[in-house]
Amino acid sequence: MSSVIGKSFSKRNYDIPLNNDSGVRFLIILIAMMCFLAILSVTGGAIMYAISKYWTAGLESKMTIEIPAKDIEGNIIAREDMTKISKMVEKELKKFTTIKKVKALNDEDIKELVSPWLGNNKELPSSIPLPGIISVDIDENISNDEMEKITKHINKISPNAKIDRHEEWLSDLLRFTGALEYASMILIITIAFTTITAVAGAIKSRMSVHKDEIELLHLMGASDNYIIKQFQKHSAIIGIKSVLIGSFIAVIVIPALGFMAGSLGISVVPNFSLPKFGFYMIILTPAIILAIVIITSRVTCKGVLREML
Amino acid sequence: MIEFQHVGLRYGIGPEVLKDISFKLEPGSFHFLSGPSGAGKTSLMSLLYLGQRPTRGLINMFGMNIGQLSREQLLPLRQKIGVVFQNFRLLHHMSTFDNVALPLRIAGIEEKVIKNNVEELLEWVGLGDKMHSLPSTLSGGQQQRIAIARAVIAKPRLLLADEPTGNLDDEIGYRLMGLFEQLNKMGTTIVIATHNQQMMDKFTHTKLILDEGNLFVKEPKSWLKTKLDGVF
Repeated sequence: MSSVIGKSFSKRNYDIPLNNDSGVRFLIILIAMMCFLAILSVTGGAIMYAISKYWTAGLESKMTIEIPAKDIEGNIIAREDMTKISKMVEKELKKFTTIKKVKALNDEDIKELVSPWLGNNKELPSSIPLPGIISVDIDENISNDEMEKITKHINKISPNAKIDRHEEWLSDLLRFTGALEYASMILIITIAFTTITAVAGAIKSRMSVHKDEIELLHLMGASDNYIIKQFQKHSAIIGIKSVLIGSFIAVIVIPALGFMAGSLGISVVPNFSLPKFGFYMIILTPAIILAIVIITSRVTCKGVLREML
Repeated sequence: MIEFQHVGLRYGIGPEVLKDISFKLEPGSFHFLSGPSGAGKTSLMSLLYLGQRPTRGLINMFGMNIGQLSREQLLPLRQKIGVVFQNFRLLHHMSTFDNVALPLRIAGIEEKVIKNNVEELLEWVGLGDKMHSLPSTLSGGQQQRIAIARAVIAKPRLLLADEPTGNLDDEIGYRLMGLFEQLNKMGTTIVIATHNQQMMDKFTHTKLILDEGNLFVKEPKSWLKTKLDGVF
């Protein structure tokens, strides 16, 4: 008995011949591409967010003081004097409670900083002037008055000292990464709308093709829900196949892009780790695409059936 | 059980295909519906199986005024009606078994019961060995028997059949008429649309005759043709 039931069930996936429809493969490819693009966009957005956070965390509470290699009158400051001036500035800054950490870079540190331009010479000739650099960690909420006070104290020691809070170029970079984050959000919304339009169109087209079968089911007393379930199941299977393909492509392409970006050696892009939120969003994206496919098919099907007798 | 009062039907802005039709079908009655091609038989059948609503008049079925019912409220009424369509309207991607089982599955009947009932009925209509065949691989007569089996499987209260014996040889045709008679004796109201005068003459049932959208009735005993002037 069970074999007969099994046999009849195995041939009967749907009361409406949805499996025989042409265009199913096209729809699977389209949704798979949408899924891949969505994962790519979410990953891009998450990377931009992570980078901006990295820069913010790394530089927003930092300040660099540069003692130029030449004094106001244009005379080169001797290395020993430069070390003394740097130490004096360091000592002065330690008096402020808003200064969390101060470190005057020694010769070795400075040589390492200038090595990209001057090479890795351990013993640089003393004729080459080197600036004094003091790295400072400041309180995030430091006031402008306090900054002015600090500047005055530094200038008393070194009148032409340059204080760089990295704000100018940091804000440009943050604006740039912010724009990229918005762009990825717009892209994700566009992908969602494209998926909705494609699925709704496909459902309407299938319902038009199978109008006779749908009408027959209605005449036998089938409820809208009975018919909707068949289209929904069909869409869910298409959706699952699509997101699996899209995710598979993403799993191959995104690490490859990461590898290519890494091999370019772009020093402005730091080593960072994705925030948990971003990681979860990437994992959730295929599920969201699948939900969009199923919900769209249900809503579209319901709307079309409502217009039938 | 079914009452039409001054029912008219037109498609779009075209002329009325059914004009001021009034009649009653008592529970357990048996009627032939006949008339020349284009007389409105299919339109009247579609009103009976709730395939469309009339453009005027009242239709009362199973104690409900059809005009006042929503789409959802029509569903339980449709489950009480079995229809044999002239072109069968079988689902060709499904097996014979599944086609016949469809009304029971829609009604949410248990699969075990479906299997027993469908197998028994298919044996009875001579399609026991074609249970798992696709309708497209069967002859016209066999497809017609599937359509009939599908219409009667759920033991409907009203059975409508459009030329149900048209493609069948006399023996199977009369056998199926016997099935209809049997269902009728069990209380099912039956309306059979047919051109087969020989078939109609063999049975003493009321004849509903449509001519240019007007309905006439031929009572079995008097054989008098009476025009129905909107009053029963």
